[in-house]
Amino acid sequence: MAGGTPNWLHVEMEDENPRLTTLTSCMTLSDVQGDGYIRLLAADISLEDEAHEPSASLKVFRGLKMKQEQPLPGIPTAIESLYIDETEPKTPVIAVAIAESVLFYRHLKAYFKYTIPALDSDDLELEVWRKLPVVQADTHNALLESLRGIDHAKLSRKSQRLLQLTEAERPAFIRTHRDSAVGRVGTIVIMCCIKRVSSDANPPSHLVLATDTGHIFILEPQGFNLVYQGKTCSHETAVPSLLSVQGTYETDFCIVVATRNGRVYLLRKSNSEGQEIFKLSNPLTGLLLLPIDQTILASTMDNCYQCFSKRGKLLYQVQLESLPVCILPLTMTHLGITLVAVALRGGAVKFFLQRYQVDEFVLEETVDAMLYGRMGMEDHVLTLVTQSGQMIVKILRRVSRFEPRAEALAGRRLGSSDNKLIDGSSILDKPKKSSIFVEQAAREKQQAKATYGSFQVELWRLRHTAARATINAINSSESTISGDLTHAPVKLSAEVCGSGPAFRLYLTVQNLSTFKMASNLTVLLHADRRHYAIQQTLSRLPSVLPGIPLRIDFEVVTVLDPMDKLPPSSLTLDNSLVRVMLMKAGQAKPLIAAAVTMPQSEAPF
Amino acid sequence: MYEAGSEQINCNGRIIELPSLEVVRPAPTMPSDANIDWLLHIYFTRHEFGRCRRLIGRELNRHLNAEYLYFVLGLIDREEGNHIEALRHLQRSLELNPQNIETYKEIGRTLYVMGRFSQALDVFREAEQRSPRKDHEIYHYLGELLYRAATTQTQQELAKKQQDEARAYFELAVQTGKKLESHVRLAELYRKDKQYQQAIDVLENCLHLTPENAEVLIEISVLYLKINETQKAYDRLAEVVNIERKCSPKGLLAFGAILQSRNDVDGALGKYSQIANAEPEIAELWNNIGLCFFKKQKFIAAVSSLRKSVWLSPLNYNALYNLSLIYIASEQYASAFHTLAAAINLRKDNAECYMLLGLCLRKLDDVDNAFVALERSSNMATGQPQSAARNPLVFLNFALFCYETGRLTLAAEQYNRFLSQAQDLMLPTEYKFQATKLKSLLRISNHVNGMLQLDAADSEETAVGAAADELPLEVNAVVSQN
Repeated sequence: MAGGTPNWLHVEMEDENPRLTTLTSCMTLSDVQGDGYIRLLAADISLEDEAHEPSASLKVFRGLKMKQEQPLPGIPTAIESLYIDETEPKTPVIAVAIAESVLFYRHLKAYFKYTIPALDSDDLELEVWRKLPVVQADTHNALLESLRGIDHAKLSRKSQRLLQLTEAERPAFIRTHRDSAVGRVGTIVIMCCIKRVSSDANPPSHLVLATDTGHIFILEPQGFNLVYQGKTCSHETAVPSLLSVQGTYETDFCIVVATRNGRVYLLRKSNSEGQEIFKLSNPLTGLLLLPIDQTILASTMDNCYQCFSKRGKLLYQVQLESLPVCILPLTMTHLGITLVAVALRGGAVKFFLQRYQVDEFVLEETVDAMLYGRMGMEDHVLTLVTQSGQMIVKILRRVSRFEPRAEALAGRRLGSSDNKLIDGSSILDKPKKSSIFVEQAAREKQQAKATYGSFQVELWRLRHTAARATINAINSSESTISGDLTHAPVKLSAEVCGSGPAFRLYLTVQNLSTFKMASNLTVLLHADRRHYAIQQTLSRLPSVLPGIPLRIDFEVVTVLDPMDKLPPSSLTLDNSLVRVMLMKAGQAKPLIAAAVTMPQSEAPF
Repeated sequence: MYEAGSEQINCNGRIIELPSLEVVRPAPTMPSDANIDWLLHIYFTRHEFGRCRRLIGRELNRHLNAEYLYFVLGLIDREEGNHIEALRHLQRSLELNPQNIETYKEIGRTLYVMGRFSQALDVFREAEQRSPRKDHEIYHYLGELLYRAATTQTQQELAKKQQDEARAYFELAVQTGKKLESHVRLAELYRKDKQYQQAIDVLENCLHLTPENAEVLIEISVLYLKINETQKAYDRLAEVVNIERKCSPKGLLAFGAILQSRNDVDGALGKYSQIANAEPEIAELWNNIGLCFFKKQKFIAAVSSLRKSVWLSPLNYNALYNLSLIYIASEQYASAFHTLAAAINLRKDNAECYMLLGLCLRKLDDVDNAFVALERSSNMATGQPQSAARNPLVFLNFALFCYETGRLTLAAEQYNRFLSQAQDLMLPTEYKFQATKLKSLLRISNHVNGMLQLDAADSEETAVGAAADELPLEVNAVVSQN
C-alpha cells in the first residue's frame, strides 16, 4: 500500500446517475456487439414498486451510459456471458436464468429457451391426474385427500395449485390442465460458467445450473445437452443457495455448493453426489472456491470470514465488525494474486489477501452487488451497486501493490477476538502501600501479644454481653400469653403424655385476638442435650386464626445410661425442664418463652 | 383441385377429408410462477428484513408452496426478538412439510432462546427420532439442554444421569460432526468428571479441525497442568505465544504459574504484569504475584498483593492460607491468627492450617489453645490415608512444641510418628537438622528434665521458618481460574 494514496481511483459520474437494483450474480461484462468494447450488462430487478408486479429488465451500459434496455419475462437468477464455440469472429452469448429455464441471447436477440428436465412424479400423483378428468366431480375430494398424503414440496405445480383452489374453481382448472405433463420442475437458483478447456482468450464455456430441488446440471450450450447431472445431497432438504466452481470441464473440476441452512457440499467430475465438507451454524452470505490453493472461503451471517480446506478443516477465521453482504474474487493476473473483496453492511468494502486485510474503503451505504474485470478500455474496473441503486465505478491504480502490513504479519491473527492489547513491557501495578500500613506492620511485630490479648478480651466481653442479652430476653417473656401488643396475642399451653423414657409433648397455640391473624410463627424447643434427646426441635407453624387452636406435638426422649437404664445423675427434679419458645419471624425476642417441667422417666420395658 | 380454406379435397373423384392441422394441441402450461425463494434467502442472509417482509407479504397468498416463506418469516421474527410470532410461523411451516428436520431444529432453537428448555428438549428429541441421518447439531443441542437440566436438577441421582446422557450426546455430536463447540463442551464435561486425559484427547482432536485456535490450546495446556504434565503444558503455551503475540489472561496465568514452579520468579512476574494491565481483578493472579514477592523475600509487597487477592475474593481458601503463611514469616502473628481463623472456617479439614494456627498461638503466648490446635492437626494428619499428601512437618512441630512445654512422652511419641511418616520422603536438610537436634534433646532430657528450654524454643522458631519456606508453591500455586 503506497502511503496515503488510495489504490482505487474513483470515476466521476456525469449528470444523472443510472439507478440499478441488482445482485452480484445478475451483472456481467460482455463484448456484446463483438466490437471489442466491453459493456456492462445488468438485470434491473424492481420489486419495491407496490403497484406493479415484480419485473426485471436487461440493461446494457456503454461506459456509464445506459444504451439499451430490454424487458425480461421474469426475475432472473443470474446472467452470464459466454462463448459457445471457437468460430471467428467470436460473439458472446448472453444466458439469462429465469425460473426453470435459461434464455439465450445473441446480439441481444433471444434465440433459444432451454428448460431443465422435469423430475419424475410420484406414481400416486400420476394416477390421480389420470382419474381426475374422467371421474365425477364429487369424487374429487377423495382424490385430493390422497394428494395431501404426499410431501407437498414433491408435488408438481399444477397439483399444488389445485390443492389451493376452491371447490368451484376446480373443474375448470382440471379441464384446462388435464393434458399437461405431470412433472415437478425445479427452479434454477444459481447459474455460473465453467470453461471447457483452459485457454487464454475467451474459451468456449458450459453453464453450471443448480436447482432448488438440489440438482446440479452442466449444460452444453451448443446442442443444449446436459453433460453432467449431480445432486447436492441424497435427501431433499438440501436447497442450494450459493455455488462456486473451479477447473475446466474437459480435465477436472470441483463444485462447492452451500445450502440454505449452512451445509457445504463438494462435487467433483468423478463424483456426482455431493459430499458434505462442513456445516456452519449460520447460513452463508458468500462462498468462494479459490483457484490456486483450492481453499473454500465462506462469509457467514455471524460476521465471520472463514477459510476451509476441501476436507473441512478450518484454516483461518477473521471476525468482521459487521455483516458481510457479498464477496467477490478479484483475480489480478498482473500481480499474480487473487484478492477477495468483502462488502460489509454499512458501506465498508474490505480486500483480503488470504487472512490479511490489504485494503479497504468506505462508501456511504451498503454495497449490494459487485463486479470486477475489464470494462470498456480499462483492465481492472470494480463496479459497485449500492442498496439504493447507485452505481459506483472504481479503477485500480496501475502501481498498486497489495501486501499484508508488517504488524499484521507479526500479530498473525488479524482482527483477533480480544482487542485488549497486552503490552509486554509494562510495570506491575502493585497495590499502594501507605506509610501507615508499614508502620502498622512494624508495630504488630513488636506488640503482637498485646494485640492478640486485647482481641481475646474483647471477644469474651462480646460473648458475655450476647449471652446476658439472651437470658434477659428469655426471662422477660416467661409467661404463657404473649405480651407484645403490636401483634395478635397468642396463648401457649403444654401437656406431656407418656411415662418415659419416650414422652410426647403436646403444645396448643391459641390466637386470643378477635380479628388479627397470627402468622409467621415458629416453635423452638430447647433442653439440655445430656438429659433429653429431641428429634425435631424447630417447627414452623401455619397461620393461626382467631378462635381455632392449633395443636402440635413433639417427641422428647429421656437420655438413659445404656448400662444401668437410669437417667443421668445430673438430672434432678429441679432441672428436668424443656424450654419452649414461640417466635415470630423477623423479631429477635421470643413472644413466649415457657419452661415445661418433665415428669420423671420410668425405666424402659 | 384445392380451394384455400376448405377442408375437403377432391382427388381422383373422391373427396378426402383433410386431416386437422391441430395434431398436437399445445397443452396449456402452468403460468411460470415466480418462485423467488432464492431471492428471499439472499435478502434474509443480508439482514434486509424489511425487503423480506414486503416480498413475503406479496407472495404469501399466491405462492404454491409457502413453506419456506413461513420459515423465513419465523426466523426474522426470532431475530427481531418476537419469539411467540416466530414459533407460530415456524409451526405453520412445519405443518406444510412435517418432514423438514431443519424446521424442527429452528423451533427447538427458538424455544431455547426463549428459555423454555424442557420444551426445547422435547422438540429436539422428536427431531432426533425423525431425522433420517445422524445430525450433530441435534446431538449438540440435546447435550446442551441435558447438561443445563443437570445443573439445575436438585436430585443428585437424576442430575448424574442427565449429565451422563448429555455427555453421550456430545460424544455422538463429536463423532458425527466437526463442531468446535461440541468438542469444547465435551472436554468441559470430561474435565468436570476429572477425566483429564480424555478431555485433552477431545481437544487435541478439535485442534485438527481448527489449528491455531488459541483458546483450545490454552485449555489443553491448563488440562496438562492439571495432570502435572508441565512440559507439555509449557509447549502448548509457547505455541500460543507463537501464534499470536498476545495471549488471553488465562493462558498467561498458566504460563506464569509454570515459570513460577520452575523458580523463574522474574519471568512469572513479567507474565503476571501483562495480565494485570488488561484485567487486574483476578484473585488468583494476585495470589500468585504475592507468592512471587514472598519468594523474593519482599514481605510488604507480598502481603499487599495477597490482601488484594483476599479483597477480590474473600472466600478464597488458598489466598487466605498463603496470606497467613506470609504473616507468620514476617512475624505479624496477630494478623496471621485472624487470617488463619478465616481459612479454617472455610475448610476445617486441613492439618497444615491447624499446625500454623498452633504455632501462631504459641507465639502469642496462648499455650493452651496452641496445644489444642496442634493436637488436632496431628490427629488429622494421622487420620489421613497414607497416600494423601503426607506432611511429617506437622508431627515435628508438635513434637517440638510438646518438648518445649514439658510434655516429654507426647513429644517422643510425635517424634516417632514424624520418623515413620518421613521414612521414604526426601526431606529438606532443615527438617533433618531440627529432627536430630530434637532427638538428642529428648535423649538428654530423659536424664536432665526441663533444662534446655531456651535451646528448644530457638529450634522451634527455625522449624516455622522451614515450614514457611517450603509450603507455599507446592500446595497453593493456583493455576487456573475455574
